Amino acid sequence: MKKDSQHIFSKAKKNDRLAQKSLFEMFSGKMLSVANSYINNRDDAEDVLMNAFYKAFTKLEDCKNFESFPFWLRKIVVNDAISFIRKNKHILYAETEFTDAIAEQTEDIDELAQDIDLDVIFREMPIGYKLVFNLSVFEEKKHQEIAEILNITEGTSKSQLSKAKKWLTDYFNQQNTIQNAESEI
Amino acid sequence: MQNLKSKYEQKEMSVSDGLWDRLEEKLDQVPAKKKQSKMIWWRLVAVIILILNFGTISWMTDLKNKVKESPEFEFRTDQISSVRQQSENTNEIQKSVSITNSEVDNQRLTAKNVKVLANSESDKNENQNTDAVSQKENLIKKEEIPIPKPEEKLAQNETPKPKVKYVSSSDLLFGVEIDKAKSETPKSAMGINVSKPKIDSDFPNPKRIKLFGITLYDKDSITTK
Repeated sequence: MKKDSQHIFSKAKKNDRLAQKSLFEMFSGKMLSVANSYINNRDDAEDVLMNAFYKAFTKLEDCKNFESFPFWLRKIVVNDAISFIRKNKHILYAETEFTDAIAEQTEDIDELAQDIDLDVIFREMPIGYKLVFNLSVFEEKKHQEIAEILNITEGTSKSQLSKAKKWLTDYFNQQNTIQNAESEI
Repeated sequence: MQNLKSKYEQKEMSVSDGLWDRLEEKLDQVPAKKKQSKMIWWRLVAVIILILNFGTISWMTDLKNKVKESPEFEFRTDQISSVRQQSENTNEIQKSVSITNSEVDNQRLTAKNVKVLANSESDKNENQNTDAVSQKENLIKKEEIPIPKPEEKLAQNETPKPKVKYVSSSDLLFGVEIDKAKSETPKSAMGINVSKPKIDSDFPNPKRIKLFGITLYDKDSITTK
């Protein structure tokens, strides 16, 4: 399997359309989901995905082997999605000082993790929170890296993440109270 | 958070059917564009090389014309020709000087012989010998007088050279030699004791010839006398 994938990858490097198509079919579903997690619009996410694959296939020589290809492609997709949001949406980062009190308030997010629906995060969460949350939680980026990617300060990144977590807890607490009220009625 | 991340990683979306076709169309446009851009670059490079070639050729031709037309270069050619003439003159002078030197040497030898004879003879003949020596000295002077003229020419030609500094040191040495000559016997006063190799070695430098040459020395000796 690995040999086949490597063979396909080496063929794709030589501009073999069939090999490139097979790579597209392998990773397009996952990458579309990643792009959609930032953009929250299927058509826009597909456009971003297409451009990302285009970049990947035209610069495939920069990628060493098949093992590193998904990570490399994902990086392109995330960067393209963020640049798309920057171009098309106004992002407002509320500057507040990050304190330990805020950090303590947001520690209980792990308890809610099982109940969280990802689509709710992508759909309902404010864009400023969502970018930092996605980069920190799903892409496992450090605050310094996030600050560099989003062109913000490290403190802003930390405060945005804590606010995103607080938003999630508040959202699910609110959902639970609504559900409880409905069940009582 | 790990639970949330694992959920995220498991999540996939189905891509619309036409997406690959769109991507393929876009990818097919790439090679043509690349080729065109490469061709444009090659054309640009070729044009630049041609321009450079024409520029260098025209510049070279202009330079040649300028060299032909400019008076500075003419002057230089004149200088070169004058230098050549001077070198020829100097060769002639050197030849003449060598001839005169050989003559002087012969005369000196005869003078020496005369001296030997004078020493061997009694004191009676001293007046006659001195007369003969003085006559030969006069002959040597007469023959050596025309020598400085070409030497002066050489000196005039080579005056702009910074080698003039060497004269000062030789002057100093020459002053010492004069003092020695004064203290020595009357034979040295005649200029006979001047060594031949010194003349030969100092000859190429005209200043030195002036200083160490026989004529100047004789003049100085005459003036000092």
